Amino acid sequence: MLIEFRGVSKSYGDKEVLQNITLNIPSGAFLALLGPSGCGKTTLLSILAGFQDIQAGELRVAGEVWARPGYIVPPEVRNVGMVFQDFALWPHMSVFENVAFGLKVKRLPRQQIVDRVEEVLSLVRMQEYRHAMVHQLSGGQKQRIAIARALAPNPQILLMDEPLSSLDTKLREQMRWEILEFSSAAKTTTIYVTHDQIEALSMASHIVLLNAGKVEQTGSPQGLYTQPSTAFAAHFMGAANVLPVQVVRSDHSSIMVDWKGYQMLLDGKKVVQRMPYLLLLRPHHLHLHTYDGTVEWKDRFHPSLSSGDHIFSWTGVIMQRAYHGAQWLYKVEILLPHGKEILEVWQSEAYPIKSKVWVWTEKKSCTLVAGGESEQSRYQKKLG
Amino acid sequence: MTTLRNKQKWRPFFSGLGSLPGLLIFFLLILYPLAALLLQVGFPNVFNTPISWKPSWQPLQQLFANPLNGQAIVNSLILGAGSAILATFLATLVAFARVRGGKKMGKILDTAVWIVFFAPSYVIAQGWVSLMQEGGILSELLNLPNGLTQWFFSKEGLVVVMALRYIPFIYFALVPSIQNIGLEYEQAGRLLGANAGYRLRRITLPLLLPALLAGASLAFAEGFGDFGMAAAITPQMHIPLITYQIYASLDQTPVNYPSAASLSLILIVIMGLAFYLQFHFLKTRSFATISTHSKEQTEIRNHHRGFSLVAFFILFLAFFLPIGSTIIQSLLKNYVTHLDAHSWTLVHYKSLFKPGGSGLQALLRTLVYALTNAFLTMILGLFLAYQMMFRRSKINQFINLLMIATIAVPGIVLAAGFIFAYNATWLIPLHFVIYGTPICLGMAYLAGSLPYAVRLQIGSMQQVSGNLATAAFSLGASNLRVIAQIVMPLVRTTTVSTFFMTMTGTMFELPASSLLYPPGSPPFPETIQQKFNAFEFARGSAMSILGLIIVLLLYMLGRWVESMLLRSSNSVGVE
Amino acid sequence: MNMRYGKLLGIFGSLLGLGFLVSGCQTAASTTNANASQQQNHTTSVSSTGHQQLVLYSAQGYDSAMAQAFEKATGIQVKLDDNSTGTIVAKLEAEKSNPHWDVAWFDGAATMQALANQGMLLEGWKPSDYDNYTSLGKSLVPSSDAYFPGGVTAAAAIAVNTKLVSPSEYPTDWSSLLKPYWKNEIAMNDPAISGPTFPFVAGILQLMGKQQGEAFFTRLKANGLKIFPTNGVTLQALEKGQVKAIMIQDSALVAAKEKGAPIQIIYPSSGVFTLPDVLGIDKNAPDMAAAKKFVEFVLSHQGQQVMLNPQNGGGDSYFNPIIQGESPNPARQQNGIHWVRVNPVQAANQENQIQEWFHDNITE
Repeated sequence: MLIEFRGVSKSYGDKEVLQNITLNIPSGAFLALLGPSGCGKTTLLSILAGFQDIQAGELRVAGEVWARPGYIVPPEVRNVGMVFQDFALWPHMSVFENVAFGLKVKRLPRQQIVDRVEEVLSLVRMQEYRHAMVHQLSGGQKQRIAIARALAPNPQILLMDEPLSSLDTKLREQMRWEILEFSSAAKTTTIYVTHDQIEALSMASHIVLLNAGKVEQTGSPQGLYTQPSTAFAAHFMGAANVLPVQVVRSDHSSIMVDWKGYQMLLDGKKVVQRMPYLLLLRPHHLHLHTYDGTVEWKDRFHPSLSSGDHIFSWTGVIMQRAYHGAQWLYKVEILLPHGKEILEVWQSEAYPIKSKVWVWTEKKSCTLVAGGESEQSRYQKKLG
Repeated sequence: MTTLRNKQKWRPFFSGLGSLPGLLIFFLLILYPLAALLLQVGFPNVFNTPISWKPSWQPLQQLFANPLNGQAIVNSLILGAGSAILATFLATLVAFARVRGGKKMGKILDTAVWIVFFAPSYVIAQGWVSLMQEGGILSELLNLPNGLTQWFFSKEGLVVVMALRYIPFIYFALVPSIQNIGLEYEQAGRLLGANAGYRLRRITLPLLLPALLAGASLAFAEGFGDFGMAAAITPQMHIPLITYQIYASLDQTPVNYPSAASLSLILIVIMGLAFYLQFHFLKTRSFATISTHSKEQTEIRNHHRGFSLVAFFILFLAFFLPIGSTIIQSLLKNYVTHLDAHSWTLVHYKSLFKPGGSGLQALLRTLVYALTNAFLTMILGLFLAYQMMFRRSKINQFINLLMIATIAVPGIVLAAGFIFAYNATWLIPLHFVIYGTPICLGMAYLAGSLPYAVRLQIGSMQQVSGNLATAAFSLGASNLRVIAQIVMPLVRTTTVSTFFMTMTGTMFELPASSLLYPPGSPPFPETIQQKFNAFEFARGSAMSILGLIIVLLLYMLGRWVESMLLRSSNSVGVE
Repeated sequence: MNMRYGKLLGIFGSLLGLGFLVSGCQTAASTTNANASQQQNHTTSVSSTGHQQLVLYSAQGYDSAMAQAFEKATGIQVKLDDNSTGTIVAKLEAEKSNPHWDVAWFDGAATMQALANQGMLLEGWKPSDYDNYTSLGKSLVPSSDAYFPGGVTAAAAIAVNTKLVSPSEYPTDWSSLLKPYWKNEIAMNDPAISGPTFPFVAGILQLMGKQQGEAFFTRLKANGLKIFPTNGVTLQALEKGQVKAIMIQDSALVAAKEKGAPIQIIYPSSGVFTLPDVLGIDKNAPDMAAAKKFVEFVLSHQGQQVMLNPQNGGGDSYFNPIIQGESPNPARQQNGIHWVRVNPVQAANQENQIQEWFHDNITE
């Protein structure tokens, strides 16, 4: 392991911003530190950079202690590169001077400095701007120079603090590809702070999801998306219908849950019965079908769909819809034996408002998440 | 980030009429008196009997014929530049201690710098003289042999004292700039391995350059045109300075107004240039600021005790040393040859409170002047600054420029201008000879303080978004309403500062007081000066200290009232 | 006391009025007019109420006591502007086209002479008590009668620190100070700053002749002469033993000695130079009658007694009276002073040149 956080805690006064953080980050990883604002991800980055001390635990890098309570290796000697949120390019210096700064500090021979600056500038495809002043550059160009400046002294770790947040949407998509390209070419371990799950999912090899100063979940992007371990993770990793259910019974291979009187047999291992659980249904895993009135409204399965064991379906009414180009977003009110529920559904076909529909999904798309209604409502409160 | 550009885009609804009151104030208080004096550069006999409009080059010729004047200009340039450089250095230290020293330290330093800023120049100068002169308080306290403090009465000594005096000007320009520099700029340097010294040299100071230059040019202008210091200290050291030359041509026989006018013209031109430079530098300042998205970012700082200690030491030198020496002086018996337990007395204070005594009368008189002037300056300063910032028009910009240029005019020049202007024979048929009345003195006080108030207000209004006022106007609010309800609350601190700065200024304003006071009713600064002139240093010092204490008490009272008002307005806000 | 507060309120009110005036409001015009017309009343010498009023610009220490005594004696109200000589002259010059003052009073005939040269002073009038002047007094009145001395001091005498100098070493004349005994132990004021010092320098040049006089100062400088700005500083240097002898105005020396300074005052045998306090009347005095009365009051026994009381005038009261029958303060040497009258016309004409020479050759 290159970077090891062992039980790291940090607080400002009474406010504990990081609690008992333990993380292992392998060399060469592109790790995304993901979480809502105020979750402590920037503090974690600052600790790694050496701008913040810690009150408990230990930070080791390549086996060497970088921080423990009362001790800190100063940033100047850590050989860590950093790309700042608003780039922090020095406005009084040219592009060349910005990039060469770290090399000059190391008192490298002049020619070596020039060569290395050329090298990183060509990596970010900015050679022709070497004499430009910072204010003459566009947002994307500044971004690239900021990366070049951070990479120039060959840092063993590259930190990026929401580097795309000050760019517009179009540029942001483009820069995602480029950052991946630059960081893999530089072969450094990259820690990338973001609050945007798309960035994390699309760029990272590893994701650490932080919530309220604690590690919520770690894993691969796919793991976090498909198997969130908490309601928070489920919500944070993408649009989700998260629904409180009750486990009726379970055995070694299946779990029967009750959702407002609607019983569903799902795959899964034995769990404690009567415990509150949450059912996660991603909107793009839900499908619509016109209800023609031929089948009993309250019937359990749509007859034209395949065998009932792998499909769940409900009848409902389109309440709201919004067009997003590639698809429509629907709010559908479905009928359950003991009540109603509103689901978000993504579908490429258009259905008018008030129209009656079938909503169906495949069994394999249904995920059970531990946690009860209370956690669910707490999270929604936070969003509100 | 709000910039000035927002406001420039904003078009005034009507600009012609709104400028009229501002123009009238400006004309009566500054333009007319100044013109009356400067007229004599080209027409030396305009105020003679009989009046002669014959133009003459004689004053300017005489000016350059006297080698002392040339030397004086050069000396003043050197002194202004020297004190500006030193003041910039000292103020940078204090400003860094302020920004990097934590909240509590920041508050203490801010207050200390404001005190230095408030302190009247000539009390400070007088304090230095009694401290440093041969056999003065310093040599008494430390038992120094003769001649050790003599270095002080040299150009170098004057540079040090003046530099200490101008720290606030640079400090005020610097602190917000340091605060606005994104922490990231320095953090980027740290991560690239640069140590503190290297970062300061290559990153922080270059980024601060516009603010440093702006502050330094202001300090230069102050130093070049400083009067109180020159008048108190120059006589001890035989170095001609331009302000002292002006003073000498007015205060030493033979009195030569045309020569004073010519020297003043040179002074105004050079200081105007310095002010222009300052504005120029301020305009380019924006490049150093950064729009930081994450405000919450913090960084552990070893709060450098040393830094704060140095800052306190500098401010101690700048204020507490000279004021302390004034206090000691005020407690000494007359003709004490050496300090011991028997040297002390309160008699100088007691005599001030003798009922019906001239000192007490003068003090009450001046309190009325000071309160009135502070009140008018505060209101008019707010109004004029508002006109210039939010009601942009050619006329307002012109007034702005001239108003700022008149900060360059030494008080004695403006005061002399007031005599010529408001004692002119052409006013006799109009029954408007107000020279010799309290009104004339009051106007001169106002003329002296208003430009500073306007400048301070403009500075703080630059932080207010023009859109706020625009929004109010679009809702149909009147000028007065916008000032009272939108602008005023936002620049409240400056407004309060203006009031107390003007109060202190008036309590200790000398040139206008001595030239313009109505015979029979001397104001307080004049009576202090009389004591110093009569070598009653102890009595004069006691009066200065009493004046300072009164201002301080009023200031505390003002802060208390302000906090009470704030509390009540908050509770309204909650409802 | 109530009256006084009323007056203060009046000032406050008129200043507020000014505020309205300058912000373009019309209502204040009447306030200003009232003040202006009051001014005009004064200018036409006698106000409508019949009370006379004297405007006195003075730099003398006893001026406020004199103003009170004069008010008491005559019922004429005195408006006093107590300022330094320089400021007074600056005001007189600035008011030239529309003067507000009746009498000006300060030390230095040369300065007053310069005003007379400009035709600003009343000439050809003699006070009724003119004949009471001593012969020294009469010698100080110019032929034009443009101004009158109220008393005289020596522009400079020598003072030694008695703790440091034994009586056998006391100087007897100016030239004694050129002895090696006084090397680096003498001080005087800068004539460019200290008012009484210029008549001293001009007097030496007159007494010894220009060349000899300049040589005297040059040799003094070679003997380590120190130049301090004003009386106060120079006196302090003597008291603290920084120097052993100084040359400053004698009234300041007497005052210091009276307050306990360990000094001995010596009037050099070749003579000391007259520095009279002089009174000039404005040629266009708003209240000419009051002005003339005041000058006569100064020369009267009553007036002289007020001036001679150190309680009233501090150091300025230790002058040498030039009115028959008046004796100086007992602290002052009564006899044996050899007075040399400095020619004010000549001194006024040569002031710039002398000042420049002194600054370039002695002060620097």
